[in-house]
Amino acid sequence: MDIGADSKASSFSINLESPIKAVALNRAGTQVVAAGRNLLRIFSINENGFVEQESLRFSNNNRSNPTNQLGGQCTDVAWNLNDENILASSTTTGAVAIWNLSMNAVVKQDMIFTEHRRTANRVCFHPTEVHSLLSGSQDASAILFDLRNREHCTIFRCEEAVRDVRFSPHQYFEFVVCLENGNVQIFDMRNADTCVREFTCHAGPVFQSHFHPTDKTLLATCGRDKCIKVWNILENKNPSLEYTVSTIAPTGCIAWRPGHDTHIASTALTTDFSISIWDLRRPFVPFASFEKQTDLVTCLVWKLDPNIIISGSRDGLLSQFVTKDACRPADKLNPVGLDIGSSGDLALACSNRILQGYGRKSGKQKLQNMFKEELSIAEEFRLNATSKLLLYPYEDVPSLSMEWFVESAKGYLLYGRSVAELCANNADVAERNGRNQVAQVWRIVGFLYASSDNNRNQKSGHSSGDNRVSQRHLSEGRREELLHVLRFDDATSEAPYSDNIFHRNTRNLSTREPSLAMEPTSGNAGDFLFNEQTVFEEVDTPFTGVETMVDEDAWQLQTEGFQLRHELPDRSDSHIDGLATKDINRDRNRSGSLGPDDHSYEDALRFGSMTALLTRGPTLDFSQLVQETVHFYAEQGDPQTAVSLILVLGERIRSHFKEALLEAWMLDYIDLLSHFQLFTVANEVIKLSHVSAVGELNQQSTTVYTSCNNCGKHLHKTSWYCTNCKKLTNCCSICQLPVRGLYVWCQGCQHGGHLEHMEQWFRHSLQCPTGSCGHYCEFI
Amino acid sequence: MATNMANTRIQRELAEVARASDSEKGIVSLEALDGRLDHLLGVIMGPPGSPYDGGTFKLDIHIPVEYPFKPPIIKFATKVWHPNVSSASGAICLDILKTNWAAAMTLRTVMISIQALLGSPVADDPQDAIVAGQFKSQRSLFDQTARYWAHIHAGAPTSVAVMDQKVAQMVQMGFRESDVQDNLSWNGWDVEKALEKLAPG
Repeated sequence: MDIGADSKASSFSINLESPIKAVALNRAGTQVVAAGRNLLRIFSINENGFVEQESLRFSNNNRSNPTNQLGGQCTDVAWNLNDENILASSTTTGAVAIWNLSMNAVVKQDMIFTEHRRTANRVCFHPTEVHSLLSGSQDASAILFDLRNREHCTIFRCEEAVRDVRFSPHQYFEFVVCLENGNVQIFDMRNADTCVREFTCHAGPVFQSHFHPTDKTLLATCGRDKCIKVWNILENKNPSLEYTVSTIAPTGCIAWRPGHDTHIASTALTTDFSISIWDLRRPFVPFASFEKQTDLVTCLVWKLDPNIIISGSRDGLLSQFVTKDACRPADKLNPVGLDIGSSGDLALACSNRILQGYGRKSGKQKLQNMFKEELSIAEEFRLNATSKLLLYPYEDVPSLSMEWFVESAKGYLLYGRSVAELCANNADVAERNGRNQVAQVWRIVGFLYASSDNNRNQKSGHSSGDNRVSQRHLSEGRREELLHVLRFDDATSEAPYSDNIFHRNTRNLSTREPSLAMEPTSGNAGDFLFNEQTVFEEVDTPFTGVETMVDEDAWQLQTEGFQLRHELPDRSDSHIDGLATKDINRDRNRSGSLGPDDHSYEDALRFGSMTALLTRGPTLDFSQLVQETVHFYAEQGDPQTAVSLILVLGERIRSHFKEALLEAWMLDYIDLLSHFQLFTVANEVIKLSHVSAVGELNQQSTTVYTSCNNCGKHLHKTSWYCTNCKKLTNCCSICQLPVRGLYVWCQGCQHGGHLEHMEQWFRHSLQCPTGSCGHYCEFI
Repeated sequence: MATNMANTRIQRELAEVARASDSEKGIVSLEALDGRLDHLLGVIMGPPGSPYDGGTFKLDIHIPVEYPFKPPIIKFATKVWHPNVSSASGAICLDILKTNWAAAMTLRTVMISIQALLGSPVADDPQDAIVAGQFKSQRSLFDQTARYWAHIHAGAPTSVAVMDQKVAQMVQMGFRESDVQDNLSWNGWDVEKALEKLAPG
């Protein structure tokens, strides 16, 4: 493949000293406009450099006139393909500005459209219609402006924020809209009510689309899911995926290479500073890449010439690249691939040529041999290269097996019992998997935290709040506190007075009055109870003796109340110490609806303050030890042990870790769990994490978009009724009624119905109940 | 009595047939007998272009308790001359009424299938061996017999003169008309053989 050796053009760049967000070329490809923050400059492209033609000035009266708000930051710029003097730019405020270069004024801003309510992400001129401008915005709409009449614009409502809009170069009326939910919609300009077609392209936002310059059926899209996908959008057919290129980072920008049907250039949004040119037939290694950049390349455009790319980057460089200067990564690669399967299987794919060389010669000679044939390696990817695939099952390489991980993940208990029980169970699990060191850690932790519940002292995340709370309550009337004690009694009807409250008291005691905490425990349980009993007698409440309760019961109660309700408020409590007093007031108002945990905890605070003078206990601090252990395992690359320890010990040690660190470990562990398809465990971790960034995982993408199973229409407003076919969709295949509750779906044929009906059906049948599809469904 | 689910489904299916498009109206109809939902009467028209054209065929439909997990039990209430239908009992040989039943099928789709079966017999999987044999070896005689049966049992407009004559001839001998029709058909309209069967010895 030629790489532009005949071109006289050379690579050069100019520093604009401000991040460039977008570039656009005029029709002839002789001038380029760069846009960014307070930046809109036009350069002509000469043989050996950019020459500034004009710097467009933003009007100064922005602040005085809010409707004229252009804001600072341009997000995109477009050059009218039919009128050299017209430019359009979009801004983060949602305004779309039209610039007229032929105007004889200092500020050449011609018009401003402020229809968008949020950031306008993209502007695009119609390829042939001089007055049509399309813009897409974060406010989930695309607007078609008519530059002749500023009142006249057509609004196309989309279901999600619009990342990109682009007119079809082939169909006069069509344009394509890329959405943040991963869908791509194709609209007809004449019909603003509904899109012509819609299909899901990416997992996560679609950042850009690009129609193939010659092949009318191909549309390329790129998205956050680190993929460039090329779709066949032939009419009257469901779009089919033709090519997929996996990139190493989310792809922000793509452009087909003119004159080369299978080449597409791309830039990354994060991590990767290079511009890659991909050959779709070889989607794993870029055909060519420019790697000299020092910052992210934000935009790129081909200069009508298949060998010249104009790009802008975040460090303010406006550059021209010539393909002859690009490096060709494929030439440096050995055709060898190695991967480890999730179960520990090892696969090695290797070109036969290398294997032969390996058999005949020593290693050094083999390498020399390869370098000699350097040029042909890149070519070989497109030819039929013979290679061998070697597979080593995990039994042969036991050290790679991750079975222990899966077994431990399934076996570990993270909540629902006392710390001692959890630790004992987890130690057993670790031991069964041959991890004696981890088992020992669990045993030690279990011993430390079970032998004395004093560890609750460690919940120092509340210490500052505690101080204030207790002081406040000391000043409040004694009688009110007594009433609270009573309410506590009601809420946890069999509250373990002998142990639990005692320890809660000591917690508050120690944080509030450290000097006292150092003294040995003077009041034994008997004394304490005696005191308490007198308290109750004072307020005339029948108190029927004191039962010695096992600590475990208290724990179960607590987890239950905590699990079933009020997870969110509780979470915020644990993080925002300063609000502790406010929370108490609020909680008091909601007395009826509280779980036992909320009650017991808040009341324990007061109770503690009241009885602080009566009892005192020693403080034993193991948190340092545990903290070191957790760090040790996390650094060893074992997030499982680290995260499990944190989750089991919960509030006792959580505050000793930075939230960012916790988040990183938990996300690591969740990633690993998902990798092994242990979704239930992953969800458990998310639920128990109490790290807001992790907890959010469960609150994202909770909408299920449905489409009619008869006509394929996307159902937006009425998720179960197709207005097209006038019937309910996706009913139970057996009783033909809409399903409320559990719906079982066969992933193979997409038929399904009520769980119990499907169970009954598959008891005596192998095939799909729909009959017509004849699919042998795999049910449970 | 059918289960609750079967009941609701049958009600929906009755409604489905009732509001079917005009092109289907008259081709297929369905009604509950005596207000019971487990015993229905279906009616289909003979498919155009077949010997059954113009005939109205009644179907006797029983809904089992396990419906829709088990197929409905359907047989012809009208006598039909067809390789896949018993000429004596009206039992139908159709895969979807046996092993290939699927819960998503409805009585309407089943009745349409039966109608399609009338239009295109499958002689390789016969219910009635005599009819199937005739269908394979003497296709024209089969067509005539089928048309004749459709005329006398299902009220199709056109009859077959030759057969009318033969029947009339034997009725004059003192046999019952229905017996004569059956026996003549089973014996390939051979009067001698039919006589032997009707009056052995």
